[in-house]
Amino acid sequence: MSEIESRLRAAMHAAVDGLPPPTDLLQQVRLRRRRHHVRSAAVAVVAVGALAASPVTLALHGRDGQAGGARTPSTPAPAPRAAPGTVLDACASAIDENLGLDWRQQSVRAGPLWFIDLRQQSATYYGRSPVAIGGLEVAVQDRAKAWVTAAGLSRGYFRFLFGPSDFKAGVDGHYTVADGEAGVTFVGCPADQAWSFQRGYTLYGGYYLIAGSPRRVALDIWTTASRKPTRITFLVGY
Amino acid sequence: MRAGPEAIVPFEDFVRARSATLFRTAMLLTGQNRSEAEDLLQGALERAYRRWGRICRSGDPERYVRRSLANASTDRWRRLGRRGERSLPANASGPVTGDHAAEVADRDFLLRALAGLPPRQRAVLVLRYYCDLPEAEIADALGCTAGTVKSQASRALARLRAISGAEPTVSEKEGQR
Repeated sequence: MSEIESRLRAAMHAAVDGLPPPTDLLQQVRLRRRRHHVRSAAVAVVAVGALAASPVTLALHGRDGQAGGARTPSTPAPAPRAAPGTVLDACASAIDENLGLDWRQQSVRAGPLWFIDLRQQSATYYGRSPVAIGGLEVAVQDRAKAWVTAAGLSRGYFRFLFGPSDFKAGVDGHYTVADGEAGVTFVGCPADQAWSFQRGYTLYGGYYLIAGSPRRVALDIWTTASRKPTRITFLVGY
Repeated sequence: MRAGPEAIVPFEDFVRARSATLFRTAMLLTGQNRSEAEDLLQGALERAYRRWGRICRSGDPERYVRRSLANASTDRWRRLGRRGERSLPANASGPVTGDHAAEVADRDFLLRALAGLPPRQRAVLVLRYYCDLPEAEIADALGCTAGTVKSQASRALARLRAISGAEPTVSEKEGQR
């Protein structure tokens, strides 16, 4: 090891060895998802305000913010809406994560949706919950819209913790199946907002509740173009 | 029936046991910015919780969280508008020699120089010289090749050396080519 390497190693250890972690770290992790959704809601409110004000702003300043512009503003894209019976996960609550190059091989595809690592699902009992909680990540093609619902008998024991329900009571929460959502609508980011480690896809993360694992779960995936859903099944808690 | 409880370390136990080490890594990755380090670590742990069962079965949850920290530290920089490299303050002086105070000053100088490196180079040095990871594991953590890790480390060390006035080794000279 060279002199500079030795000095650097010593400097780094001297700087941080003995530093205690934040005392409220677990609590902050538990609150994080809820804060994220509060922020997302705030962004949506600001966006609505901006849309309402945009014709005046554009008339005064032009699209590039230059004075005297007289161009016609383009029609804003309609805000995405959740399919009936589902909650919405749209671009503002997308997550960033590098899934690695082989993420498709580890995933199950249904139309524009990819269920990440679905072949290896397991749920865990945390805290005092009588139901198990598992994590679920879904990639949706940018600009696509699809919704997923629990299907058949699964509706009785499987629910989603996405959208407004995401992580709502944290890891120690006393969940029941009724706390979850029957379905989730996923909307890929529009072109001007798309950015992801997985180019061309928008990634969402959330949780699910399941009573009595191990159990087989069936999900139906719908798109606006399909009359019949695509059904996938997977095993939780093997 | 509960799913494989023997294979899954409770998330809370993991956080209590490993958060100090992970927080120190986050501190170095963020150039010792405490609030950024806390934010980085919270995000990495929240992502880990989401897939905790699978991460535990992989056998090394700390490796996953460290990888997430390193990735997020470089991504954060990218998303904050490609903030340029930070230069040393105008009153920063090079290393002095002789006594304990000089040693402390030298360390402080090096750490500030480390904080001024591009985040990817900084991450490589932190993972290599603080976490003692081999090049292959650093490459895995940052999603690049071992060759890239080598060249990034070489450039970063060359930068620190230029600032501190140390002589390069033969292998470091080769790494820059």
